[in-house]
Amino acid sequence: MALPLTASVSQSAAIVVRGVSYRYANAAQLALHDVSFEVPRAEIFGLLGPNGAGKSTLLGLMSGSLRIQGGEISIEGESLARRARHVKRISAVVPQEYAFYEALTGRQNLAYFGSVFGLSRRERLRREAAAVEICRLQDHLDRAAGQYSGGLKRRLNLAIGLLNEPKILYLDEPTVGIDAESRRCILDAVKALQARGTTIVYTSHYMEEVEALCDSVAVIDRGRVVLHERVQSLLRREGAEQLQIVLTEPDPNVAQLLSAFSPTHVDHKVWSCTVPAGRLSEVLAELERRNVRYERLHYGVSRLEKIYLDLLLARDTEREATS
Amino acid sequence: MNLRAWRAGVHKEFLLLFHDWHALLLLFAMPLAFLVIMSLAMQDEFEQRAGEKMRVVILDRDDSAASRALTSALASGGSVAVHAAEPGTALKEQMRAHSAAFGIEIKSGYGAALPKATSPLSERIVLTVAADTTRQTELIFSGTLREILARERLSAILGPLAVLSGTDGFDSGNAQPAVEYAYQSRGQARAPSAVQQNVPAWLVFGAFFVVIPLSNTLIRERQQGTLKRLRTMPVGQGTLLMGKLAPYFIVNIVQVILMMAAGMWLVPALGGEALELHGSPAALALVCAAVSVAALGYALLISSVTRTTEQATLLGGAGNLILAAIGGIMVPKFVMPEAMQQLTNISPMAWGLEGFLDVLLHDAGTREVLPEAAALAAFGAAALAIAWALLKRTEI
Repeated sequence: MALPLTASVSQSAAIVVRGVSYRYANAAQLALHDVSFEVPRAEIFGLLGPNGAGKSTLLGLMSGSLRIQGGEISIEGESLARRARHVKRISAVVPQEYAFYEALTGRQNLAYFGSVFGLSRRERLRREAAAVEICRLQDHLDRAAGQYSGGLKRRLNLAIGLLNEPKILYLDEPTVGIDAESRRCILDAVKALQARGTTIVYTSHYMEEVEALCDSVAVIDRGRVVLHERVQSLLRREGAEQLQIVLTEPDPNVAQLLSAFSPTHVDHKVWSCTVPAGRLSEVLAELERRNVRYERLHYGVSRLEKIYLDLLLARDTEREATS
Repeated sequence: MNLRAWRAGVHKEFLLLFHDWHALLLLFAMPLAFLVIMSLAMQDEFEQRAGEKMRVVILDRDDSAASRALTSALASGGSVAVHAAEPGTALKEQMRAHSAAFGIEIKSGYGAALPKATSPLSERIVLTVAADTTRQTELIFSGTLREILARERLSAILGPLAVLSGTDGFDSGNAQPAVEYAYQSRGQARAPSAVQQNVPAWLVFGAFFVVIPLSNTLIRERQQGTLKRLRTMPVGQGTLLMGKLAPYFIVNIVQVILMMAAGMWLVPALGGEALELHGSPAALALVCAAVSVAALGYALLISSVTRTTEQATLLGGAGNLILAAIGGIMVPKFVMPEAMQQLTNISPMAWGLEGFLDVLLHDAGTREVLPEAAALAAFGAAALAIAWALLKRTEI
C-alpha cells in the first residue's frame, strides 16, 4: 500500500531532504536509503515508523549529530553540510532520552545548556524564563532533576530545547511514559510553538497524538520513506466507507449487528468495518433500535493508526511474497 | 573557542564532581590514606636505607685501653651507634631499652689477652643478638666484629713495628670505598626517606585516578543522550572537551598541594618523618602540570575506547594499578632488581615520580626535570590526540 510521494520542492519549505542515505560504521545495510521529503514552514511534521526503521538516524542527520554521507539536507535555505554551525543555532533537538544532568537542579541544567549557545547572562535568563513558563516548571527549578517525575523530566527536556528559540524543533517521542498532566502540557507547548512559527518534526508511537497535532506525516520502513502525505487528505482518502464506533461499554449486540460487514474490534469497545454509503442509514437505524450506547461514531474518515498498521502489514506481506 | 560555553562546561563539571562523593573520596582520601599508611609502615625500611645506624650496646667489664679501642673502632665504622651499658643492669634489658640489634660483653682480661695470638677471644667477647635481628644482619655484623677484632689484635702485636716505621698505626678511614646507589640516575643522589618516596608516589597515583570520574561522566553523557544533544548545538568538540578537562587539571593541582601538606604536617604528627621541600617551586609546578597532562590524556583515552562505566572503571582502575606496580609507586624502584628497574621506564607514573624525586631529593631546577616533563607531556598529548579522533568519529 505504498502511496505516492510528493515531488515538488516548495520555496517555503523549512526542511528539504534530498536523496539522503546513511550507513553506520561496520553495518552491512544502509540505515537510510535515498530518503527525500520536505517540510513546510511552521508546520508539524510527523515522522513515523517501527523501531529501527531509521527515524532516529534521520533526526540525527537533520539535527547535525550525524554527518551526512550521501544526499543533501537544507534547513531554512541553508545547506547543513556547508553551514552546520548556523543551522545548529536555529534548530534544537529534544531527544527521547532525558538528555540532561540528573545530579544538577533544573535551574543549573537550564543555565548550562543556555550558556552553551554563548548568550549573554541577561539574554540567557530571559530565554530560561520563557522556556520555564511554556513547560510550567516554575515550582521545580531548585530540585535535582534526578528527583523529578517522568513527566517533569520530559518537560525539562523540552524546556532545554527551547533555550535557543529554535526555528526548527525536533521532538523525539516527547510524551512517552508520562502522566496526563505533563502530556497535556507538552502538547499545548507544541501547539503554541507552531503558532509562533516554529517548524516541528515530531516522532511518536502514539498515533492519536500524531493525528491530532501533525499537518503532514512520513512513514519510514527499513530506511525508506514509504508514505508522505498531508494528514487530513490521508485520513479522508483511506477512510472512504469506513465506519468506526467507539462504545460507552462493550455490547454483545454489536458483533451480530455488524456481522455482514466483517468488523474488527479493539477491547470490544472500538469497532471498525467498511459500510457502503447506501447501507449506512440502515446500520444507524439498527443501532438505535437495539439501544446500543456509543461515545463517538466516525464515517468516511479513517484513523491514522489503522492506516499505519495496514501499511506496515502490507509491506511485510509484500516482502514475504518476494522472498 | 566559545568562552561562555567553556566557562559553563568548567562550572558544570565542578558541580557534577561535588555531587559525586565517591569520586572525591577516590581522588583525595584514597591517595592520602596510602600516603600516610605507607609512610608510617615503611619508615623502618627506609630509615635503614637512609642512613639509620645499627644500634649496639656494649658492656665493658674490662675497662682497659684495648676495650675502649674496640668500642671506638666499632663506632668509627659509621654504621654502628654504640651505647655504653650501665653497670649493674642486665645486657639484654639494656638492648631492649635501646632497641639495639646487638649487645657485646667485653669480659675482664680482654686487654691482656689481645696481644696473645694463641688466646681465643671468644672467651673474652660475647655477642648477643636481638630476637628481631635478621639472620643476614647477624652474619654481616658478626663478620665485621671478627674483622675489627683481628685488626685490633694485629695492631696490638705489630703496634711497636708501626711506630718504628713512622706510621701511627692502622687508619681504617683510608680504606672506605666510594658509595653509589644503583637506583639513582644522577649519581649525586641520596636514598629517599619513606615520606619523600611516598608523597610523590601516591600523588602521581592519585592524579591518574581522574580516569574514573572523568570517564564515568563522559560515558554517562553518551548513554543519556546529553552528548548527542550537545552535538546538535553550535559548540565545537574542543570547547566541550576543554571544559571537561580543565576542572580535573585543577583537581590534580589541589591533590599535589594536599599531599605535600600531608607529608609536611600530617605524617610527622602521626610519628613519621616530615617532608622537606627542596628544589625550585617552578620545577615542582612543571612536573605537577606535566603529570596532570599525562593523567588527563590517559583518562580521555580510556573514556573514548570504552562504552560503559563498568568497562571504564575496570580498564582505568586496573590500568592504573599496573602502571603503578611497574612504575615504582607501590614498590620503590630502588628495591627492585636491575631488570625491573629498567621496566619502570615504560610507565608514565615512573616519569612523574622521577621528576618529583629530582626536585625533592636533588634540589633540581626546571632544566633538570625537563626530560621527565617533556616525556609526560608527549604521552598526554598523544593520548589526547587519539582520544580526540576517536570521539570525533563516534556515532551517537
